[in-house]
Amino acid sequence: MIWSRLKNFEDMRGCRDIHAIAGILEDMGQQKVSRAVEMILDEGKAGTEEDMTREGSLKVEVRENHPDFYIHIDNIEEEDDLARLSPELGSEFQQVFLVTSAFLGRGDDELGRSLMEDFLRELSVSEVVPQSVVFINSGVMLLCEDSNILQELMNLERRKVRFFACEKSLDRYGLRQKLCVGTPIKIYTLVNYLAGANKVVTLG
Amino acid sequence: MDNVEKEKLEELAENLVYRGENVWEKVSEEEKEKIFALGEEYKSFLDKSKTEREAVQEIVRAAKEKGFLDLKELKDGKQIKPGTGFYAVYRDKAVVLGVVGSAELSRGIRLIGSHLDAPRLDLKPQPLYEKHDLALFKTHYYGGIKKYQWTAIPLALHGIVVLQDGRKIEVVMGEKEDDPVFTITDLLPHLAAEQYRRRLSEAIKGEELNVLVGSIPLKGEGYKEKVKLAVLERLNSAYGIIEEDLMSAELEMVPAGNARDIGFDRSLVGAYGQDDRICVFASLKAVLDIETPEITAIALFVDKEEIGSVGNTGMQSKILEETLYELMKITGQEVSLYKLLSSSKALSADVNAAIDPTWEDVMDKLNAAKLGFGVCLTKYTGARGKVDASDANAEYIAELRNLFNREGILWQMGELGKVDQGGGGTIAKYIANLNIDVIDCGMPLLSMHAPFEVSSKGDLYMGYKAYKAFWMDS
Repeated sequence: MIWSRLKNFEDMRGCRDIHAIAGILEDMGQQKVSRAVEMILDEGKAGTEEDMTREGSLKVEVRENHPDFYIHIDNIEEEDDLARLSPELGSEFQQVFLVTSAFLGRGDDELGRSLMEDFLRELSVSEVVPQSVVFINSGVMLLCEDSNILQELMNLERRKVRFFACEKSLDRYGLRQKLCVGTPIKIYTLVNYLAGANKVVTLG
Repeated sequence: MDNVEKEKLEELAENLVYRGENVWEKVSEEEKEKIFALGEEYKSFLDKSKTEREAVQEIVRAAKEKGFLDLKELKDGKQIKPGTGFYAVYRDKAVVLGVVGSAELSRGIRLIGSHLDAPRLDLKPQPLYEKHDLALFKTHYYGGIKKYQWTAIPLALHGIVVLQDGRKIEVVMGEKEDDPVFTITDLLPHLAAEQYRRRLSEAIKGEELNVLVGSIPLKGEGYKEKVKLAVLERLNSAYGIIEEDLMSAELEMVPAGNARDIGFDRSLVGAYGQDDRICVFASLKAVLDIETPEITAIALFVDKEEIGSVGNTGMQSKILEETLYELMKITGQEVSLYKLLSSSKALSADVNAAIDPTWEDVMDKLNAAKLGFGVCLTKYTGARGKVDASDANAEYIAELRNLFNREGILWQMGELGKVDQGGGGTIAKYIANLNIDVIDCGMPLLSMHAPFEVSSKGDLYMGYKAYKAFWMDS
């Protein structure tokens, strides 16, 4: 049985070698992506959260996070399809998950980490997903390099789930430069955000 | 709930609910013996058929032993009558076997197609080089492999070298007990900090699949690459070849060693190349065992499935059409080839993925095949919305269900993983392009495409029975 290589989505976050990224993207046969990578190589830098191209159905987003580049490639049509298929809870019933720790439950830490990863993994394939997930304290580790569930979180992101990481927590753990998924937010934004939600589910 | 209600529910469930059945729980002791005997034959076939060329040789040998005739040597229809077995070999890498049916060819054929090729490491046209006083072969992997699985295991060299004058030198090294083996070295964990940062799919890159083949230099001054020269000297003395001959060669590195039983109960087979040689073996055994079928039986064994069924030995070539054309010519039956094909029915005999207890999350448990639950029908393959799939017609599936249930063949329906998880394909879509009703029907595997794949002897037995029943069904 032949293996289908029908991939139009690649997670490069955490990869520090720009030449390796270029090689992998070229393997994908996406000329537009290759051009975007050439731009980075030529200029030696990339715009922050800038869409490098929006030609056709391909979206290439490059974020410089010194000394790394995070490149996010999406098929826009597919993204729309996924969004349509996902029975996401609407704005009238805004549901927010608050992840307060990298561990789910108290007791054995190893078990707690495994449970949290399992939970987010299941969430990534769940039909119903929250509108956003906010990570605080050690929960921010789940969004950073070396997290085992980056791919799952990115899948959720493609389904329009928004991720936020507490800035103070990122700084405390020295993870500001290693954030791979989501946007850093300050505490006062977090307060306003949670206060405005219709329902908050706390995990940790 | 009282007992009456409970019984009613159980009766209702018995009548309405589909339940897969475990081969080992269902078969008699006598059948169990047959299963294990078939398993022994299968392992022996695998050991002799590590490449597509070796598989063709083994198939032709078995066919000749059963009295099958070379279709290309038949000049007229005198030797051909219902029940006659024949074979046609194409470029030593694909072969068609058939048994002439009692009905006219206008009624079509019953085709079972499988593939002989398996993922492996092919030597590059100029493979040999020396670095740091070691001699190595450069390779180019063939088919979908997880590259990291091929390091630090013993490998054997199989294949042919064709000399300038056309002579073919067959090479098999690394299979006998006292043969040397080869290996691809991996980085020690102590120094693998950078390698650990690579994505798993890039942990070993294609250009890092270099096979260690020697380390003793020739003595003397002058020529710089003395280890490489020593390897060439050995190749020359063993096979009479020079470096340029390697450019007209097809040499493959495959896992060394024989097929083994797996488990305390010996119910499973562990071996390289079971995708798709398990279906090759089951259909070969079945076509050799059938008596005169009503509809002409054709067993098609093709190459290049793992790289897209391309090339002149793959399913997209005209091998089947040519064989049928020759058959029509020899038997004097003038039938439109289109008519013949559209009246035909087929099984694409290829494996599917069995649910793995450790990796169950990639499968939809309701629709996943299970090891030991019989031969597996796969309605469709493809990826991301059945793209590139042949989606079998419901009417045809009903027909096969009826046949298998009637013949007491344990079967199951399988799907290749969760939707959006990935995907794959088989030769089914190319058979379907010929306007033939077709469905994938093969055995489930664990560790598909790994150097050591796992199958169930119970499923193999049911596959063999299913193929036989398909050919003998009128």
